[in-house]
Amino acid sequence: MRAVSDSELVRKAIGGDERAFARIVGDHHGMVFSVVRAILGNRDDVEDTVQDIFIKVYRNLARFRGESKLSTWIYRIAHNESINAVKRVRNDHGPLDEAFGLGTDRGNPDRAHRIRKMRETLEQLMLELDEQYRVVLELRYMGEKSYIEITEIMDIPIGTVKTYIHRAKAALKAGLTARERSLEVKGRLS
Amino acid sequence: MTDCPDIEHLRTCSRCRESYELYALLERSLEERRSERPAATATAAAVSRRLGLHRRRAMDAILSVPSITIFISLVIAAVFIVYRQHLALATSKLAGPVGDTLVELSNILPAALLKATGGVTWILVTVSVLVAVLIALAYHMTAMRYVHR
Repeated sequence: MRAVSDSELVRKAIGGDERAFARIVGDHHGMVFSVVRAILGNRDDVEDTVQDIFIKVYRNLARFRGESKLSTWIYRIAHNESINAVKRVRNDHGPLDEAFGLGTDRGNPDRAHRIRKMRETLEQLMLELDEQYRVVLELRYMGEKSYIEITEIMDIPIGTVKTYIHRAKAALKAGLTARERSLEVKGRLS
Repeated sequence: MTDCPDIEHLRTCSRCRESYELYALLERSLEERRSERPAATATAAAVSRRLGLHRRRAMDAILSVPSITIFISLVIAAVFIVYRQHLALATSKLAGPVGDTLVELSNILPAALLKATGGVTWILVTVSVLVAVLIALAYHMTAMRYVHR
């Protein structure tokens, strides 16, 4: 497929080319979803917020001057809209233990069960990370972006991206270790 | 081939092995979360629907094609108006059965109606416009079905 520049895509989309806009959505969907998930967490309104962001992108396409990359411009909209979504809806995540099902887990989980539990735990631990760590981590894993791409999207140095990912993973690992230990203790006590 | 010292250490040190396993599980869990991401095409379709882009495209079609139909019917009507005498003659000469039918029709129709409509030629003009309108309506209904799909 012929490489189309950001400006050309934007120009076509403004001119009513639905396919050009669908391509913009396709190219940046992973990034936008990652940012929304990083800021909102695993909530029901994530997909609605992603759609709201692309609607805002469409309505503001004429304001894109091409001074930054399109991904950076969309990232800023995604970030702002996600923050607004957080303000609009009360964060109603329950206490950590309740979400983990600590009261029902009797210990000695097999590997599949451990991974499933870990994913649930991970969602909660992610919410406890600093926002910039969450965003970088989601872009890396959920959005499948390279370090270079994250650098361009967030407009931060590559060293910072690496540091954020390292610190985020270290914090998650520490949280998971603490969680595993608490499960062990719980198993012994029961 | 000998194992590197790190792997050798993992075999003997349960604490480091546990830490490594946890790290591997973390990596896998992070990667597996990608499956929760909805398809970009579904989002694009939903956004397009919410923006009414497909509706706008259909409306463009609705507005453009009937316009052409109406334009053609007006051209036909203009031709009839300008050349109605010649056309009436040609119709009766060339299209015998049709011309005869029209003549019969003009005999059946009340004289007042013929006078009001301007004669057989004008009836032809009216019929051509009606056909054009019916075509436009049929297209409009088809396009609206597409919009609501």
